[in-house]
Amino acid sequence: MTTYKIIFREFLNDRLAVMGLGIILILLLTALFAPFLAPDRSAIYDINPQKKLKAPSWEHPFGTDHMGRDILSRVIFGTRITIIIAIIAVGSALTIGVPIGLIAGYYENWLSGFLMRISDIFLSFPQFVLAMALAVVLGPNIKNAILALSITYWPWFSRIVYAETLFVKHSTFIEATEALGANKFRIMAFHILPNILSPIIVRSTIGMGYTILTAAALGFLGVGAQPPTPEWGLAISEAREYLPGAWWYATFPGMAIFVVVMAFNMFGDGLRDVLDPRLRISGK
Amino acid sequence: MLNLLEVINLSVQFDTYQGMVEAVDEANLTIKKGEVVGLVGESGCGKTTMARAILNVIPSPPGKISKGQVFFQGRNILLMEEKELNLSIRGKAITLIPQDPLGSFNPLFSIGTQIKDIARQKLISQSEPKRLGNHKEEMKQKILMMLNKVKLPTPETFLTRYPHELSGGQRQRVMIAMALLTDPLLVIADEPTTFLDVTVQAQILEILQHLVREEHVSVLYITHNLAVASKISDRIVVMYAGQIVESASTDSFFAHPAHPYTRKLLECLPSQAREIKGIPGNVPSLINPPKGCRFVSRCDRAQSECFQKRPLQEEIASDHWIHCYHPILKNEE
Repeated sequence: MTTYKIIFREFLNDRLAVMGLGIILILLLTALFAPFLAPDRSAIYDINPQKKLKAPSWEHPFGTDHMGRDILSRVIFGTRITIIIAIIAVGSALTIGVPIGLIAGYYENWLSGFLMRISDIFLSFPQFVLAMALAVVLGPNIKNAILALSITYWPWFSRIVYAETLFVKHSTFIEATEALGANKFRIMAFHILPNILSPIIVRSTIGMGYTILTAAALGFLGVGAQPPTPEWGLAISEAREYLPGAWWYATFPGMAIFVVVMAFNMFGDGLRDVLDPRLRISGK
Repeated sequence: MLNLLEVINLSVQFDTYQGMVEAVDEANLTIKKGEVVGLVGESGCGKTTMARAILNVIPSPPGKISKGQVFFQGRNILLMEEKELNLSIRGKAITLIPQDPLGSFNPLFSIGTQIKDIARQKLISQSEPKRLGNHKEEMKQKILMMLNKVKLPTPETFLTRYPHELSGGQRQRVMIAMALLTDPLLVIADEPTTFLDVTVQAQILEILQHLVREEHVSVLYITHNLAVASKISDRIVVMYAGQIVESASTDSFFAHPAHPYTRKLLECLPSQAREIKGIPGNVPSLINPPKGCRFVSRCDRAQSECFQKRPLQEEIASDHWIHCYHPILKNEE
């Protein structure tokens, strides 16, 4: 337990990382209690032409959009979509990528070559272009956007896990475990995987931020979430026509994306520093 | 005595970028029940490869067992199913005490977790897998007893500690306890004292010797240290460049070492009075090794036939076997 205490104390020293964690926690709580926090629940979907494009005021702190909906409420409900996208996309990328990396790294035969070449094919396109193409082919909606993100993000994990597995599998204790007669699944799952967990955790955290950004971009381009979903990227896209007059319309969803992605990155960086001291910069 | 392990004509090859390396070449080795065999040789002569071949854990690719048989209790290990090997041979009937006691523990888990893991896998799983709970206390008692036998003071306190928190000697003791936990028939000790200083080495050897006698296990003791081998073994087998060159009971071996290599090796042992000697020349490359005797380039007794063909095994005295055309015979001295 002391090891965890030390890691925790180290982590607390990193102000940016703690700030990132704080924002992520606020985000999670917001998503959880969205119905109680949003000032005007009905205003998320209900069209209200009289209140169209009102500037921020006490009644509508973030203003209203072109259909007279309360932007603050929509941003708050957007957290739910954002979190669902991040968790499902990164979660499925982990589920696909980690076993593939482990198997490819542990078996040094045709199978590992085959699996890693498939990963390479995915990595040879920019992830965003690939995800966009997939989302268009599958049909533009939020489910397909999540699917497209998952399918295109796993090679990052398989690459990392592959490299780390290659390194760990030649350790003496893996050889000793083999001589003890542990089967291959046991060695991979209980001996190699725990030893390579830190880079996976770090990559997942940073990947959350990245995925949120990509999902917002897909929404912005119209191949992700569809109206009237209160998705942040989509909101910015809708707000384009009313710029620069209705500046609040694009600004607040944009701020939300910016803050959340930055929080995940700061948290991920802090985690990396704590979990992998080799990457630390002296004087920090 | 019954032959517990019989290695017949074993060859192991490694496919490297430079070519095929013959790490072990037609090796024969017999270990009787309760016997301690010391396998002696320089670094890189194939001792560890031999140990791995016995457990059939040669990393493949690049390695492969190209020839030969390994009979354990009359059954060929090399033909056994992987599943059966894992269940009843590896870590159960044949256990390994590794060379590097720090590297051989998984750094993430406490000593206790790792010992209990072995106990759970090897002591219980076959008989009554369902009744794990009932065995827990019994298992713990056995572990503590074993740790006691390797003379670790207050074994309970070791269970919660991590490998890096132990000293080298303590780690190696835990390794010995782990290796003997499953009541094995054969323990392969792969240079278990190499990483330790001389005093700790003596303690570990003593513990090992004592336990071996007490538990009646056979031991294949791999070492490059002839002095250590002479102390612990009933029988000494000398390897050179992947081949076995001499094999004899410890008494016969030291009374009358017959192979020129063995002779030179013994002369290399540092003593206080003399200067340290070496053997001129180098171990031949194991990629395309010499056709004949592999020691030929460093041997001062070499004749033309030594270059042509590897000498066959020959019994020069009772149970004293040698691969040499021109051994140093008794009457020469």
